[in-house]
Amino acid sequence: MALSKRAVRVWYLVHKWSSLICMAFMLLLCLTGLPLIFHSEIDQWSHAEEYASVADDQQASLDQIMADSKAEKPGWELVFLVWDDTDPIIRVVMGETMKVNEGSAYFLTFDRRTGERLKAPPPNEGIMFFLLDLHGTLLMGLPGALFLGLMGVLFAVSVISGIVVYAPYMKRLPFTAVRRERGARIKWLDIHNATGMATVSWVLVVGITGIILTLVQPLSMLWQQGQLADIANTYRGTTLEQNAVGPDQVRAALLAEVPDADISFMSMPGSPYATPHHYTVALRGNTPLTERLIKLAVLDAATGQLDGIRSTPWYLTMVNISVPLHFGDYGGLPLKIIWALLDILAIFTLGSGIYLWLARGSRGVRRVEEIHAMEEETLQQQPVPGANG
Amino acid sequence: MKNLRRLRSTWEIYRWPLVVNLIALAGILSALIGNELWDLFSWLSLGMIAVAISLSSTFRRCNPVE
Repeated sequence: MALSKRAVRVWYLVHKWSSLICMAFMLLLCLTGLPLIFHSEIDQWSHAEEYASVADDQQASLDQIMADSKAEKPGWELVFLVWDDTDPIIRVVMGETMKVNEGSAYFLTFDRRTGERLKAPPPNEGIMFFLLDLHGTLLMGLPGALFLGLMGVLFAVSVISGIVVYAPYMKRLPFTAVRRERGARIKWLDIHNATGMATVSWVLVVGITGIILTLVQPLSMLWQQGQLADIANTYRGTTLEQNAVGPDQVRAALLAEVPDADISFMSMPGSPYATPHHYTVALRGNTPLTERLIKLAVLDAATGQLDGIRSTPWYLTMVNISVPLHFGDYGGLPLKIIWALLDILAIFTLGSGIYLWLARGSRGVRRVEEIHAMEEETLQQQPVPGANG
Repeated sequence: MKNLRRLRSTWEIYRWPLVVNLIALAGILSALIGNELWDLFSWLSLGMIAVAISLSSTFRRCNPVE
């Protein structure tokens, strides 16, 4: 089912314009994304932490960590406790108020087994944070993220239209053929077609999960106003005494009910991801398939009682699955190296695409028509059933 | 010399890219499903594709007029 001349022309224009608009941003994302694949390796290499050799199941007092944090930052609120998924550390996130954001937060790092204060650099400073911020928001916060999401949609359009316009070029060529004797333009056209087609599924996975991740902030707000507000509403009218129950008691109550709970995150009462009356504790699943599917334990801050364990809504599950699929950090170092290689191939596809546009001469769209003319000529001499229809 | 070889059909054009992308997709998902063997499958399938395409677009020569 070969496309009509007119259809090829339209798809070609879609491919050209969707690519032209987003390519500069995509190139920036591919370049900044490359070191970000190795974010944790670079952090460890540039700041290797010496951990005390103690039993891994030893657990430091969270109340003590809380007290130490408040002593270091008097008058500030302790908002979140974050368990690292590779290193034995807990990060404490503090804010001047409970309404904290990443830029204004104060981070402290503790050994989660001994409670020892570690001198790790804060995750919201330094070159890697700059790259992440550039990659995620163009340094412009939510508007930048949403803009990049829009560019991501254009990129997906560009990939799909690229699949369609691939066919007219390949009537005489096998997959991955590169004609080197026919000049630079033909050579780069073939490289563009080969690298582009071979990496379609990877760039679509990374692209679409990237689009989803640009929506993290609006989706978090949706959750706060939905599920979280519903939980809070059941306690409307009741007031909570300040610090009725400490985090140690909350953890103990949770572990009593769910002995194998793998805690990844604890949100203090009154913080953006809890209610004024509850702690929320995020639990990782304990199989490889479910470890990214977070369940939320809600605990009454007045009594420490477990109020229930809830699944997150589908859109947060989607976000949680998108993170590893976007960054490639879910299959060890070999997968990261492959991610980097595929990223470099994507840079080649983008770069050759830019070159093809710059070296287009005056021919432009006519090229596609030339291909069709050539095709029809051959067809008249040797009709092929199935090649046209 | 004019090339009188028949033109490739749509299926002939897309079948190898389709196979390669299905293998890549399986590799992307398998590391998400499990560890050890699942990771290994992911490395082999995705890695093979990434390396093969890098090498073929660097070294492969092709003269379509056969």
